[in-house]
Amino acid sequence: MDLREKNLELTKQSLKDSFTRDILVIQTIHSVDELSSIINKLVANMRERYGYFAPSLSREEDVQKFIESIFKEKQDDLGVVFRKEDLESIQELAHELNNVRALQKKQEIYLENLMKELCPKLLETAGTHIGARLIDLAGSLKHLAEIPSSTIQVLGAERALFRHLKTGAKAPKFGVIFAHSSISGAEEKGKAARRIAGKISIAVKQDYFSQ
Amino acid sequence: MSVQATKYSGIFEVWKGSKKLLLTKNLTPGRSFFREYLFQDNEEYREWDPKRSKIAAAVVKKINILGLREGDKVLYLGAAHGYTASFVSDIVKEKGFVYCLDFAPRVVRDLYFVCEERKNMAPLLADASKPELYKSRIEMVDIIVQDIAQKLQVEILFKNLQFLKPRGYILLSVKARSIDVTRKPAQLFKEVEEKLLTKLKVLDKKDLSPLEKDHMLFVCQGK
Ligand SMILES: C[S@@+](CC[C@H](N)C(=O)[O-])C[C@H]1O[C@@H](n2cnc3c(N)ncnc32)[C@H](O)[C@@H]1O
Repeated sequence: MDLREKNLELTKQSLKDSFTRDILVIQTIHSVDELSSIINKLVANMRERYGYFAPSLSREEDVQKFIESIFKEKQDDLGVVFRKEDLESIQELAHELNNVRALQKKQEIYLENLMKELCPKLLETAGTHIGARLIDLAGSLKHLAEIPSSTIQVLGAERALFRHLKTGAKAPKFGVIFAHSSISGAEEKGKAARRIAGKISIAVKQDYFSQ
Repeated sequence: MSVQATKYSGIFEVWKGSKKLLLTKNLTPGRSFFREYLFQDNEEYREWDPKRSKIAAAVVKKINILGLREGDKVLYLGAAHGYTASFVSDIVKEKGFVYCLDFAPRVVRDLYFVCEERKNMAPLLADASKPELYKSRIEMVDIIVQDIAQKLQVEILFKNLQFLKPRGYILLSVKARSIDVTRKPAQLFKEVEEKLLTKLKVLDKKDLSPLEKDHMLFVCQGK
């Protein structure tokens, strides 16, 4: 075998060997985020369209209630008459939107199951979304287990961190962990962020090194 | 307008409207791998975009010498998807060879497909800072290209000099930000050059801005 063939063969094998299941966590949180963006865009578009027929119902903030209202076909005071086919067409969209929302739920459940298997402690301390985002930002579960908790604290705030290093602007207090319930509610957010990052750091180390 | 040779071996140019394009002769006629523009003039050429490739950027900025010639064996550290490596493969042609190394599996997957179709390229999924792990998979080369955007770039290059033939060339691309985001690029480049000079001759260097911000390409030669 010449060197080229040998390298093609070895690379094929090492590519396969390099796969770890945390890659699926990263890819699935990407899918969930894409679905969110699709859902948000479609909802905005449908509010706009349905708003000619039922302007006040289109302002309903609860998405589920808004979608349901589309099937009730209740024309507003301020609304214009829609033909049967006008209503049917937007209902068709609403129907598919419901399917996409259900699909997103299923993807989230799958993601949660993956994390139960790979990083149960991280899942417990950070939750599905923040946990998965941290793995994504770190690049792998392994890397997340290796970086210090002060880095975990600002993962997702790279731009602010860069500005801080370059111009001496204030250092960011938190990245994606900001969405954690015990930070957004806390009085001293910086302190809370440091504490949560510490807990997450211990959890992910336990997960990774117990494998 | 027709294709003109440049002073660099295997690199051509052509005017398209008011723009000058860089080209190489396509080693795999009919095939493009990165949606690059294919240009016909008796033979087929591929457009080489200086915004996507630091070596092409150095050509646009008229670097004195590249050292790349037909028939060269090349070790390419940090080949990524193989964009620049594929043009290097065009330049060294059938008799040359490009060992394309990168440690990121996702990009090597793309690189694999390019190497599968180009008979003078081979992929290696490996860490450039651990040459003992791929020693047995390559041969002595005429030129080392390194583009790895890492803090210890020069140290990594030095570890790979064992694969360079006497008086072989080195094309080293240095990204200031990868070394230290807080310090002035000019100062960092000076330090890199001083380190290089301890083991190598520096034949030329080009700041690649505005094509690549805060990047410097060094052309060196083994002593
Ligand atoms: C700027 S990209 C290279 C782009 C490529 N040279 C081109 O022009 O098409 C840098 C690459 O270096 C790789 N890299 C960084 N450190 C490395 C190392 N120690 N060993 C191997 N590859 C490395 C990264 O995975 C990345 O793909």
